[in-house]
Amino acid sequence: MRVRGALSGFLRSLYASTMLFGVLPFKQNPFWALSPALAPFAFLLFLSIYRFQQVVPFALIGGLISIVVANSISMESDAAFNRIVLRLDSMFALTKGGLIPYAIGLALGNLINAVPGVAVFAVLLWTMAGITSPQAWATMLGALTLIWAVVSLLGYLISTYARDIRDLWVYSPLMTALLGYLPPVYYPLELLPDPFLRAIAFISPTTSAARLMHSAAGLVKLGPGEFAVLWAIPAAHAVVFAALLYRRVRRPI
Amino acid sequence: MYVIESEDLWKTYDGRRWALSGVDLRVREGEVLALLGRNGAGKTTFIRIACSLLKPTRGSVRVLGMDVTQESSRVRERIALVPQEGRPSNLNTPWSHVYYYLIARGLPRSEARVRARRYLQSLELWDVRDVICGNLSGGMRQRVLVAMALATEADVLFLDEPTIGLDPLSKQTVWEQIRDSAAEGRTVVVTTHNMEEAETIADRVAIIDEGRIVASGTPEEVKARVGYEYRVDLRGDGIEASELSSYGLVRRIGDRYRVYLSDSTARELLDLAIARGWTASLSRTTLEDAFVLLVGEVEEHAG
Ligand SMILES: Nc1ncnc2c1ncn2[C@@H]1O[C@H](COP(=O)(O)OP(=O)(O)O)[C@@H](O)[C@H]1O
Ligand SMILES: [Mg+2]
Repeated sequence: MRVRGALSGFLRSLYASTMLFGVLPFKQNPFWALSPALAPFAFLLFLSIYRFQQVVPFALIGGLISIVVANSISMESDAAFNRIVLRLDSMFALTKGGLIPYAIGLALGNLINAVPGVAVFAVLLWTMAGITSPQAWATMLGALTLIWAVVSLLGYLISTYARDIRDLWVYSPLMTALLGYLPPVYYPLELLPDPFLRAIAFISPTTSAARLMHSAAGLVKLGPGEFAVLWAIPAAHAVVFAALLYRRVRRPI
Repeated sequence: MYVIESEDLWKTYDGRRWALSGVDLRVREGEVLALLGRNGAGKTTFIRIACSLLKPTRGSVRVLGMDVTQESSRVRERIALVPQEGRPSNLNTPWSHVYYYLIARGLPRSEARVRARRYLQSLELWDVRDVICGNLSGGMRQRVLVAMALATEADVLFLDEPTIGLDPLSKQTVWEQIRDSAAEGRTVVVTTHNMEEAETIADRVAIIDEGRIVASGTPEEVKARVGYEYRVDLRGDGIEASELSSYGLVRRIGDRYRVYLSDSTARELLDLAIARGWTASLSRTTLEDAFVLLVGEVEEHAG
């Protein structure tokens, strides 16, 4: 009974936070959500105009990843804004589940913003690159979901260090570039010239996720056992970020 | 039985300066306590510790009999807070703020709807319930936060400067709602540096200065603490502070002299004013006077 009560309290709080910080603002202006899709779309346009057909699938997968990264790292500015400017986080701290369902609600809200861009790129991936197998799509969605979870956790973690409103919008573009564009998401890992760089690339959780998606689209061949390792790496990122975050917020100052 | 009890509460943020130095404060059930103090006195620090959002450096606070540090999650369900300088989100309406906040607090939808309606009405936000907060005035936005907190009908309400920036009529609306909440048995702590606010809504006031409670009690008791019943304001030619000081405590305010004194000397000073042709006005000491005298004195000692 206590467990059920706690669970329903958690879900209510999660639902409220998702509505308030995701669904309702999204309804106010759904077109805002398309802006993170613009840069990847321009990329795609160039490649198509120059008839670089063989790299278009990379541009599409890279685009999906960039869009999810941009919409997930915005957790950083959202959480910091709610804490520093609105101070609504102190009100949400005084709810049944505390700040955890509130934060997951923020992340779900961001996921809603990613949907339009992801939908456009997914349709293009289906039609232009001919990716239709359910298995391939299961891997794509799984990898994108993992990116969302890991990057949202990272965003919330970074937000806890923001002290002033001016800290707010600095990190998101930087992190979007570092996680969504620079690592091998628009090109295969193999193209990185030296083994050291290839190892470094795995610091970014998007490298593993992109490789899973590249292989699901038949663009690269994975070595034996690599599939499991590629899932494990971003999962490990998630665990580390969650642990760091827990340490940051466990005790108020 | 006390609903809020703080005992020898100390807090430092940086390890060097004390934001709270040994605060003892008790609030009874159904009582409105106004915590008065200048900027930086420690009001917000006290509120945030009592809400379990901040850890005390030393000492403890019990809310509804529970230690806020040890039993924070149980305490949190039974209190509500209007944070200082908070703001509703520009992209949402007053209705969605109050309704979804109540859902997050664990209320069933039907009950949340009824309450949201009741509190939006009583805070005069019903007509703008579907306007996004970005298009509301500052006073309306502030009232949205008050509505969110009051609508929880939590046993203990902490309101950190809830009427800052409100016009006089909005202020009165908020004051009425705070009084109503107390009349229904809820305990309220409200911080302010508005003395009128304190005198209007508070059953008891506590004056905090530099992290210490320098006086507490009913507004009457706190006024009595300073020992002067009346004040006389004087203006005119040839007033000498040294002459006035034999009547009472003299303060210079702009081009006036203010003398704090008791019943009998007031009459003598007024006679003197008439004899000299000064302009004089007599009033009873207010809470603001008590505040200025008490807080000023502490500073002189510290000085
Ligand atoms: N986060 C913080 N870090 C460091 N010092 C702080 C912090 N918050 C408040 N203080 C200091 O603590 C003291 C009390 O502040 P506060 O409780 O906000 O006062 P009030 O609410 O009465 O204006 C002030 O000297 C203030 O500078
Ligand atoms: Mg304050």
